[in-house]
Amino acid sequence: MTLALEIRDLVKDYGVARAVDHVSLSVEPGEVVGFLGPNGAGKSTTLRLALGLLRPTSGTIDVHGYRAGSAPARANVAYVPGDVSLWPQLTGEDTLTLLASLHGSTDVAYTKELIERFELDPSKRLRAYSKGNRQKIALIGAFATRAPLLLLDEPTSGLDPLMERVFRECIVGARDRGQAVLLSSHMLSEVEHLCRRVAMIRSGRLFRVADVAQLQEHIGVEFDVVGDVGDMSSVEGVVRVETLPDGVRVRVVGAPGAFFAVLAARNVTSVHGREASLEEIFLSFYDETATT
Amino acid sequence: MSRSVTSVRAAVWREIRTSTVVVTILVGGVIEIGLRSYVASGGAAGMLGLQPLVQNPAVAALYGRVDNLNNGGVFVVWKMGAFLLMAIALWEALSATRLTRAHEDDGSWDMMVIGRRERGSVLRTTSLVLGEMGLVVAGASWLVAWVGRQSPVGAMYFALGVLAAAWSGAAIGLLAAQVAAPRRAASQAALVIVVGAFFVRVIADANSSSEWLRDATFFGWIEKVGAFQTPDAWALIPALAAPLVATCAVWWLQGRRDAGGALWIHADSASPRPFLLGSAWSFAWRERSSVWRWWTLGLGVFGGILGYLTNALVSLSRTDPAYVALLDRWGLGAMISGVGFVALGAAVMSVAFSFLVASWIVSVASDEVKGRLDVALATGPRRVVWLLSAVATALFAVILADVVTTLTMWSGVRLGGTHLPLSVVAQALASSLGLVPFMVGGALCLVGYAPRVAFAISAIFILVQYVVQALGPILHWPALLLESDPFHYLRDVPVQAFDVGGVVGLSLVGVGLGAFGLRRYARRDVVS
Repeated sequence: MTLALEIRDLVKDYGVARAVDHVSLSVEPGEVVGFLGPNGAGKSTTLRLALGLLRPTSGTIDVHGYRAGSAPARANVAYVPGDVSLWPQLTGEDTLTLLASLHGSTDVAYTKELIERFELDPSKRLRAYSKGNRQKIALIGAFATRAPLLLLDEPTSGLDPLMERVFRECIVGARDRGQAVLLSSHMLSEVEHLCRRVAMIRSGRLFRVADVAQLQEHIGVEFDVVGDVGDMSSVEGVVRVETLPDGVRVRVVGAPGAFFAVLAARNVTSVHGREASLEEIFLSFYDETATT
Repeated sequence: MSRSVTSVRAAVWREIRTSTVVVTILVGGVIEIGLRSYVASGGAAGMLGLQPLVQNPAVAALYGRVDNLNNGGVFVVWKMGAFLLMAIALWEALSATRLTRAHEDDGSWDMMVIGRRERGSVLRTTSLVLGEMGLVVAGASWLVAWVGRQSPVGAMYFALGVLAAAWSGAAIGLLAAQVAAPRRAASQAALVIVVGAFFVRVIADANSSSEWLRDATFFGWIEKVGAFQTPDAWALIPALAAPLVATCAVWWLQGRRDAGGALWIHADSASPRPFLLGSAWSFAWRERSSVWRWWTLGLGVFGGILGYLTNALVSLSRTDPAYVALLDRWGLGAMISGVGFVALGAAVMSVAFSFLVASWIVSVASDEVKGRLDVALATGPRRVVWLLSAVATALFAVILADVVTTLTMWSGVRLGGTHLPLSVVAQALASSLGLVPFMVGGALCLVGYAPRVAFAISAIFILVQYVVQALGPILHWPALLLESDPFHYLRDVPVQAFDVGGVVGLSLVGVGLGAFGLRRYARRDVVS
């Protein structure tokens, strides 16, 4: 099977500064991959390299088997930049017409449907649109191409919660049609909702690519235990103990049998377990890599 | 002054300091060149031949009225003053809309007026900085004239005229920014007012019955000041007071509207116009068609006026041997015939055609830097196709503009009473396109290698090269310098033979530069 996006050992230098450092990542057709990292980590640079807008210092990028930036690769990709800047004198509708013409393939009926779903007034000139509305133009233009690969750079940064929901529905629809998506976002709840797999980048280096479920397993489960439980730090599987006013908060990694066995022998009033959110996972990994 | 206002002042100055330095150097340079030209032309004695020309109504209308050219200062006022003042006023007007309306459009004004700062105080600080910009240029004008051994008092009146033009331009720009939005509409309104004021002054000087119109605009007031002649200090009062009053009106107006709004807002909605959106090629034309319309209108009007002046100036030369001798000294001897005058006029047009082509092509770089091309180049046509579409439409635009200018100049020549065949005007203006291939190549090279400064470099290059060609022979600059200037290879066709070798050589250089530029553009990172 041809991968929708295949990045191999990618490096991008700006003078002596290395923006992307030996990144390798692949996205399969029909897969939505979250791309996470703090500001300046190299997410946008990686996306722009995948679009052929930037030239790699070394390494290769293929889009559906074609070298990034080549004509067939451009025909197979759609893009939403984080900060949408287009021609201010054109109306929204004219802009969508232009983007469709330039891309070469667009589902006109779907464009109209998307305009309605995103509640966009296409008669306004670009200069009159708010950031959110400019973002909608780029999103509609990208989704309407039905391109096999969508590269989205913080696509919902200006959208209200209702439009975020529409965006999520569109992503799910695209995924169900077999389109692949690489979604760079700081909205971790959005990524958690949409992505099975995430890639985390820091200082240009990809330090983790894994399923969200695997990450949750790695981070473990957090239990709030009410009662007099005594010292839990030496119990098998317990990696962190935090004292609460009426008990303790314990993080357990792996099989919790030993943990529950100890609890059974203590004076416990209640136990509440909770899987880690993607935000907690991200912060945990970020702290981990920052200290190493 | 409070600390917050001081920081706004620093921020505003930071934004316009480069253009202030460039404009100050250019203005000083033009004055210096004017003074040297005067000396090189034989001083007061050498200018006697020009006296009938100075008194000619058509010339007085265009250049403004002076008594006689008996010192270098008044020569500068007459030869360059009108256009210098207009350029300074336009620069201040555009700076004003940039510093106010543009920031309101993009929302950065909101950041300036939070906290302890009020909109009024930020606007007042911006107005003061605009005033200081005028002071810098006026001070440099005084200094250059004084160092050039002109009367200190005359230089002071001249500098105050420059200051009045600068302040008037700033006040017009500030006023337009309160009235119109977005910035493009405000800038257009300011440009129309400044250029309109200039034309009112032209009409005022055209004949004695319309002389009262000199009191209607700042150009007329400044002219009445009479720097380096018999000065009229009273004329300075309206010239300097009017912009101050207008600026106070601006402060009053801004308190009566919303931040980001304007008293008159350009319609934000429009019916869809899918015309010319079907490809990169057609869009390249649509994106810039309004630019082409304004350029062609301006060139057409200028060509018509130049053509209309042909008869008057040629007749003058036939009656005044001193004038002919002066033209010969300046290397403009061909002007004594209708054909020669048209040929020289068309050569001047080559500057505008070169600038039209270069600015058209480097606008691709401006779009790129603003991030407008990211989606288009990532998912649409090849970069080279995008750039070549700009080249193709630039060539189309300049040829159309040339045809229109040919027709208006020929019409002007006929209306003025000179009978020249259309083919003569057509040959003259066709030869003025000789530098277009070189300019295309140079512009492509700039887009490829220096996208962030492509516009500035191309504009300065064309201006400097033209000045070298226009003044170099008069001031006896080195032959090597003159021969390295592309304009050197444009001949006054049809009086002189077209320099096939020179133009073909330059075109080959242009092709080489263009090939390098295209190759670089295709391979480099997209800048945004």
